[in-house]
Amino acid sequence: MFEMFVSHLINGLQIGSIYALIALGYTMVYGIVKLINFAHGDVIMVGAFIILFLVTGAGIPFIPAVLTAMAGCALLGVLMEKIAYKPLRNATRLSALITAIGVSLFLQNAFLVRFSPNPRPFPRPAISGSLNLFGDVSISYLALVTIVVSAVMMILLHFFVKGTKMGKAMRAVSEDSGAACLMGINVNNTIAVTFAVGSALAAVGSALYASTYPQVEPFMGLQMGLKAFVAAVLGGIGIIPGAMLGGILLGIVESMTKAYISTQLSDAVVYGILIIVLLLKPSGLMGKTTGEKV
Amino acid sequence: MKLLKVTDLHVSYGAITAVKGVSFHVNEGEIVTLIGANGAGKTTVMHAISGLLKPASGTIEFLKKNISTTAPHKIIAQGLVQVPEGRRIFAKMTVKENLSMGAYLKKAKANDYQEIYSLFPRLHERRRQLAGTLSGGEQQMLAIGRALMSKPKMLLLDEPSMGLAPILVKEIFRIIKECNNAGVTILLVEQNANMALSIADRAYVLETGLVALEGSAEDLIANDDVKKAYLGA
Ligand SMILES: Nc1ncnc2c1ncn2[C@@H]1O[C@H](COP(=O)(O)OP(=O)(O)OP(=O)(O)O)[C@@H](O)[C@H]1O
Ligand SMILES: [Mg+2]
Repeated sequence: MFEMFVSHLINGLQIGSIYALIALGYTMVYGIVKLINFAHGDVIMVGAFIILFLVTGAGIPFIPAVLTAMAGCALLGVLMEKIAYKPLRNATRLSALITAIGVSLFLQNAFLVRFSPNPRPFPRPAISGSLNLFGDVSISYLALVTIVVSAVMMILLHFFVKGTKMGKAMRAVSEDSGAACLMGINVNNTIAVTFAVGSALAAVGSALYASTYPQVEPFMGLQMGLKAFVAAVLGGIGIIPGAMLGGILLGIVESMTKAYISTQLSDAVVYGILIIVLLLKPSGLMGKTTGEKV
Repeated sequence: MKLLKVTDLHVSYGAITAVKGVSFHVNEGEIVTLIGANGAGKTTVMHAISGLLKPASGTIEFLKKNISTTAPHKIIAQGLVQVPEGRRIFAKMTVKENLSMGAYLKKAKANDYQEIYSLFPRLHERRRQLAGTLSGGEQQMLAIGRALMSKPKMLLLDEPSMGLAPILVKEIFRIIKECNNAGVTILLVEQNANMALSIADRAYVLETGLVALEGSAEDLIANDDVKKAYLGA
């Protein structure tokens, strides 16, 4: 009984930490430019394709392939911002949102045309076996690696945002970009770095996700992107620790619902919880109750 | 030497022209004040100088170079720094982090913080506190301290006395004077014309986007129109 519970908890943590990594991209971008980047989910897809081609096509080992995908996705994020979002920075939020949906559709369909809708097997690393924790409870090495890698990424991000000059600039721009400008901060560069960091984290999320569900296809980012977005909103959009909390919570709720209630209902429960939280606390779990700012 | 020289400046917001041909200059070492009623265009001029707004026409020269199309961070790197209207401190950062943002282009040394703390002892007491929890007066001190962290040649101050009790207004003006004595050239925008004229060398009166009057601070204090319109006499 208890042992089953712990293993569901571990499953939840595994998927939840991937949600969290991807939710960070939504939340950081929202924090700095007040834009829901609907194309963020598709960055996951592009990352998975990059790893697929590098490993399967070019025979490059997995880890260097992931690092390259991080760089590739970072570049994609920066280009997206420069080409699609920057010209609309002073436009209404609705125009920016519609543009983001457009970017998302563009990426999905470009990959669809170029690479067909057929799922391809993801060359997941050969991490098999599991570690016995206690009694009958064990954690698969894949789950362990997923959780540890996500945790390390989040800790690195924390120190980046709190401790580095660029991290402080990001916080300053997200609070008041005009004032940040008057400090001598290059606002355009800071926004570009934010997109780059968020997208690189998505590439890591992509590697972990595709290692768990090893299929690569042009629409794979949709579902994952939506869940991560929900996680970001749940935790409080624009708030970095909120995205971490929201992601992990979402993963655990999902896993528990699948185990104890019903697999079919798990999405309904997830969105139900989102609606309840937003009714009670519109700014999300870690949001300030007043206002909607970061 | 003319440190800052603004010539025939026009600035528009879409179809609205807020500044319609303003010219003035600030000599090195001076305190010059721009006074004028709400909506006269004072903040618009300040934003244009700092590069936050692009002028429709006219030139802004700092150290004899035209900066009217220069990016804000490059203007600040040249030593022309603004304390914006409404303070605009970073509420979710600590007092010390706010100060460090002021030195963003330099890399702050421990000594730089010390200088600000000796000017504003209150900020030292509260250095670990979130800036959003400071009182209005303390926030204004932080905004000025933050700007001074970059060791500017020239400081632009947009209504530093706004919303402060008279005793704090006095304190802020004393500090502005002190900065000026230490060699910082000052351009001061104020609605509190009395206080502004009392520390300024020269003044310009802005009315609906135009310079209506200019002269030495003493002359303007004595001017009947100024007395009526701005000094509440
Ligand atoms: N973002 C904006 N969009 C459109 N019009 C603006 C904008 N900002 C200012 N204005 C207009 O430009 C004119 C000058 O405004 P500005 O803020 O420069 O005045 P000010 O002299 O600083 O006034 P105050 O003493 O109230 O701060 C005003 O008529 C104002 O309505
Ligand atoms: Mg103003």
